[in-house]
Amino acid sequence: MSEKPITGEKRVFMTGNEVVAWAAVAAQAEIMYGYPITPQNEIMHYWTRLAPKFNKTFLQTEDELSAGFTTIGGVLAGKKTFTATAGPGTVLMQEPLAMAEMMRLPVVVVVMQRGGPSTATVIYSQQEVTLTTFGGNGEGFRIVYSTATHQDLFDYTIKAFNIAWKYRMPTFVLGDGYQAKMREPLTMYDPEERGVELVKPEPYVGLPGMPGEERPPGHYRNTYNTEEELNEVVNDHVKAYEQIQNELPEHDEFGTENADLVVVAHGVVARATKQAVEALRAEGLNIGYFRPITLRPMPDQALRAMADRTKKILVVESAQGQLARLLKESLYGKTVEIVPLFRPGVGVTPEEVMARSRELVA
Amino acid sequence: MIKGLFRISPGFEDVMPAEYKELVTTGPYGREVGVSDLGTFKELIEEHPLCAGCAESLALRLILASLPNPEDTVIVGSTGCSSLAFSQVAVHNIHSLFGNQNAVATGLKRALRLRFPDKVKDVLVIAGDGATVDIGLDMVMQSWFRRELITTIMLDNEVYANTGGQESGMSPQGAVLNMAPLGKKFPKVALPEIAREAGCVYVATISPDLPRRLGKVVRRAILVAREIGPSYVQIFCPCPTNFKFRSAEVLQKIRERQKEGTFQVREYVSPEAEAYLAGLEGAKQREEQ
Repeated sequence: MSEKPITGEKRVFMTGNEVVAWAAVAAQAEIMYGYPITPQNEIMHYWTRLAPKFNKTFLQTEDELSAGFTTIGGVLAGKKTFTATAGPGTVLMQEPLAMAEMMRLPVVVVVMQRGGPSTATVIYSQQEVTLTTFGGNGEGFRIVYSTATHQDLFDYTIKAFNIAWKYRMPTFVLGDGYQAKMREPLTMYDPEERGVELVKPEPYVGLPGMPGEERPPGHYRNTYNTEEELNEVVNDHVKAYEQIQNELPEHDEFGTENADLVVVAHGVVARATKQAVEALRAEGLNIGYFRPITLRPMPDQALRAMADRTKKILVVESAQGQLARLLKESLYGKTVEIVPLFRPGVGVTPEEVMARSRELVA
Repeated sequence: MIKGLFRISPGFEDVMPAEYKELVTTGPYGREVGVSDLGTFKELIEEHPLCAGCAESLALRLILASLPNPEDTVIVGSTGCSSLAFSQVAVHNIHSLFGNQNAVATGLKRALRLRFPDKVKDVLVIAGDGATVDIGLDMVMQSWFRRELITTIMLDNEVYANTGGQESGMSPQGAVLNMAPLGKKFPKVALPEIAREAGCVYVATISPDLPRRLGKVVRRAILVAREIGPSYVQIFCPCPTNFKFRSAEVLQKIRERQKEGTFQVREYVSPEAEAYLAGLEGAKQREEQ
């Protein structure tokens, strides 16, 4: 029944939420579990409309705790399962996500950031960076992609499923309310037609053979009786994450060679900073642009190399320094000056970035 | 009674907004007013940003007109359409995030009893159906199990209206909604029955098309929660926006559902609550005679 949802290349104009639903279908995700919260509702709306056509399923749970845990159940059964949430929903989801971290379960979570703390606004922010990268009672063994455009949302949603199942780590697509609700053109495609191999999911339970005789029984734990036992497991995670830190970091940059100033931003704010930096460079100013795409792991090596080539860094975000904290950790020991432009809970315009940048290189 | 608190400090008479002055002079604080007196006193909510014809806004207006002691009432609300109206309400109210309203109310009520051992402090939860029966059900039910002295009111519009129309536990079976394109698969949760079993001493279902009855129900629910035990009121307020009927037809819709038998006005009073209310209401009647 399920034919390919997308064949060839398809130029479309749609909201970010719709893009995520299409990308999940294109990535051959099979189940979505979710709970209503603005601004991500339409991911679920579009998914439920697409689901019957492509033999996929959906369940609306009673809250985000349940949405997270049902997603874990789906993954344990060997299905590509995902969920989407925002704001206080992301907070509630930390308990299942910590379990996914502990047991290295490939859950995929799309976060459309809204204002915080608490209920705050349903509109927009970049205030869920800390929660998405380091939420839960653990060490932040997660993979987080911060998207800036609708093309990113499509590409990285597909990638998130592949990375999650390849590395067996909870993987996030970190968008925001602007991206969720805004319409924008992008190209949709079938990943396999483009030569992107889709990593196949594997069941944890329900395997062939008599458990205990033909195969060891599945024994998936997230509780340990001794300190040493836990320490051993977490050390394995540390080792696995070292590989991820070598292989996965992604970023975008230009004009950072011997720059007087480099503007660092992620997500939708990086679009404003990119536009600002392009305009300032056209005026002849020696200003560079850097955008981390993975926030976990951060592109440490590229950031440290950039820090050696510039005099100052302006870090711009719609939060009170959540990206800046990650940045400072990446740049530990470097002496480059870091200047903040923090606008918690509100959007940032290229004009604001240009004005601040001019002051800093004057 | 602390009507004295709601007075304007000398010298500020000229600068206070007209609405505030009106609230001080003709508001319901410290007065015995109810739904039947609407129009004769300054109401605790007069404007709201909810949709035209919203049955929830009507219910909220009637609830606020029925509070036995508005000056000693704290309302705990939750996320949803009603939370948009609370910033316009002239009674202490607390937004409790989403689904946590009965836990916040529990902590509040217990602490208020410590601070004011000899005084009535009514704690009233007003939340939507999603907040009460889905995300908040554990905290709602645990508060009932523990017999917390709070009143829980559900504004039942049978849908997640604020997030754009998804099914809730209270949506009727078969209702076609976002994320239920083929119709909701399980029936409306029988929360009044659950409330009774879980320890509520007073349980009622009502709708805003019966304003006086609604007023009486709210009053009784608040009074029994002062001494006898938890109470639960479920107010049917169908949502014209998400169920796509005309705003002007809200009350008609309620009556249709009543005729169909899918909404019934009911009241359960435990024997203890019955005796308590009979005492109070009898005393009031004697006073009036």
